[in-house]
Amino acid sequence: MIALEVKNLNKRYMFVKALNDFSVTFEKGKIIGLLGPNGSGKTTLMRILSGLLQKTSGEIRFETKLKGKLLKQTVAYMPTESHLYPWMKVKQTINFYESFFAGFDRSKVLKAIEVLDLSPNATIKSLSTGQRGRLKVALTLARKAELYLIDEPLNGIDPISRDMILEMLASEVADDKCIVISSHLVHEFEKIVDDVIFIRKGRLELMGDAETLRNERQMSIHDLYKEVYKND
Amino acid sequence: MIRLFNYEIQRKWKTSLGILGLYFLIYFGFLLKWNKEIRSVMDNMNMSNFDMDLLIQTFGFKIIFFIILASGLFFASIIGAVNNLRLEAKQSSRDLYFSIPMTAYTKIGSKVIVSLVEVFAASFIGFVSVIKAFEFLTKFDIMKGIIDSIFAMPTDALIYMIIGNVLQSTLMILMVYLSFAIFRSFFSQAKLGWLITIGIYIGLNYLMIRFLSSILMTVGDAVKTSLSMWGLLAGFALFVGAIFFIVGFLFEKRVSFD
Repeated sequence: MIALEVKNLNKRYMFVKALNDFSVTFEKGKIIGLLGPNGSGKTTLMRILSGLLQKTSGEIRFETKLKGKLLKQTVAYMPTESHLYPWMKVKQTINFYESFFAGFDRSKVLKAIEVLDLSPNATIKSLSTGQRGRLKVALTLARKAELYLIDEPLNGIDPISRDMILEMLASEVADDKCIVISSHLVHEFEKIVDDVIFIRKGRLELMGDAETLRNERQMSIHDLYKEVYKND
Repeated sequence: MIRLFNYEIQRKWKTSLGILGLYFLIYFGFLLKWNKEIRSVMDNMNMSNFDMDLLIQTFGFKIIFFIILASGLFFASIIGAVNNLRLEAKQSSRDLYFSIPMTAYTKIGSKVIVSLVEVFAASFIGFVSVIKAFEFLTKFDIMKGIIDSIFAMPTDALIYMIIGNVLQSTLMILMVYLSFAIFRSFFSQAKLGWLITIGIYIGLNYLMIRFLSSILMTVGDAVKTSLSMWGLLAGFALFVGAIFFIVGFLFEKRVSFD
C-alpha cells in the first residue's frame, strides 16, 4: 500500500535548487533508505514532507488528503540535530510527547530507557550524543504515525549506540507504516533497508528493491553507493 | 491549549522567578538602605523648618530609581514576550514544537496569552511596588487614593480602559510576531535575519500608524455601533483579530524553518 507519493517536487533556495523535479513513492510495510552524500537534498525532502519547509512546486500525495494538524499527526519526523528541549528531564520529555502526540506508546520508551540505562531524572543536556540519539529514535518510533522520517540517525553516534538504533528501527517494521531513513552511512543500514533511493543534487538517481539491486548489479548497496557517487 | 500552557509554565517558571527574585532583592535592598537616611531627614523637619528643596533632593533620585527599576521589570517582560516566539522558531527544538499536531493559530494564541500574562503581571508588580516604595519612604498613603479614583470611574469607562489596554498590548506582541512570520515566510534563507526582522517591524509599525485611524473609523462605522467609543473598540478588536489571523495563517501555510 502506498504511504506517500511525491511528484515533480521542486525546492529552490536563493541560489541553489535543492530538489529538482523529484518524484518518488513510499510504500507501507517497508524500511526505505534515502541515500546520498551531504547536500544531496535528503534533509530538504524530509523537512518538506514533515511540513517544516515549504516546497517551491510539485505535488505531495498521502493515502488520504493530509494538511496541517493531521499531517503532523501522521508524519513523525526526527531531525539529525537534537530537537529535544535541553532543559527538560527525560521524564518531562516523555510526558511532553505523551501529552501532544495521540497514541504515543509510553511503555515502548520506558522499555528503551531501561535498556539504555538512562535516569528519568537526567536532563537532556546532560546526556551524551549517543544517549540523546537513542532517546530521540525511541521517542519518534513510540509515536503513532504512518510515515516515519528519520534523518541521519547515526551521525556522531558511537558503535554500540549505532547497533541499538539499528535494532530499534528494524524491530518497528509493520504493514501500517513506512520508515524512511536518510543517511550516507550505507554500510550500517544495508542489512535493514528493504528499498533504497539514491538522490544526487536534488534529483532521483536510482531507486529499487535492495535485494533486487544487489542481485542485478552483483554488488552490495554499499558498493553501489560508491559506484553511483564516485564522481561527486 | 491547556497542554501548551503547561509546557510554557515548565519552560519559563525558573527564568521568570529568577527575574522577579532579582527585582525584589534590589528593591528591598535599596528600600531598607534609604529608609534610614530618609527617616533622619524627615525627623529633623517639621512645619516650621519645612525645606522643599531638601525634600526633593532626598526623595527625587530615590523615587526615580524605583521607577527605572520597575521599567526594567516591564522591559524584561517585553523581551520575554518577544523571545517566547523568537527562540521557539530559532532553536533546534523548533522541529519538535512546530511538529506538534495543533494548528498554528493555537500555538500562536498560547504564546500571545502567555506573553500578555507576563507583561500585565510585570506592569502590575512594577506599578504597585513603586507606589509602595513611595508610601514606605514618605509615609503618605497614596494607594488608597488611586484605588478610590479607579472605582469612582464609570463602569463603562473602566471596562473600555481594560479592554483597550488588553487589545493594545496584544497588538504590540502580534506586530512583533507578524515580523517573525513575514521574515520566516519570505526571507528565511537570508543572512542577517535579525536586521531584516527589525526592518519589517519598523515598516509594519509605520504603515499601522499611518493607516490605523482610518481603518478603525471604517471598521467602526461598518459595525454600526450606536456608541462611537464602542464602535472604535470593536474596530480595534477586529483589526487585532485580523493581524492574529495573518500571523496564524503565515505560520500554518507559509513559514519555512530552513
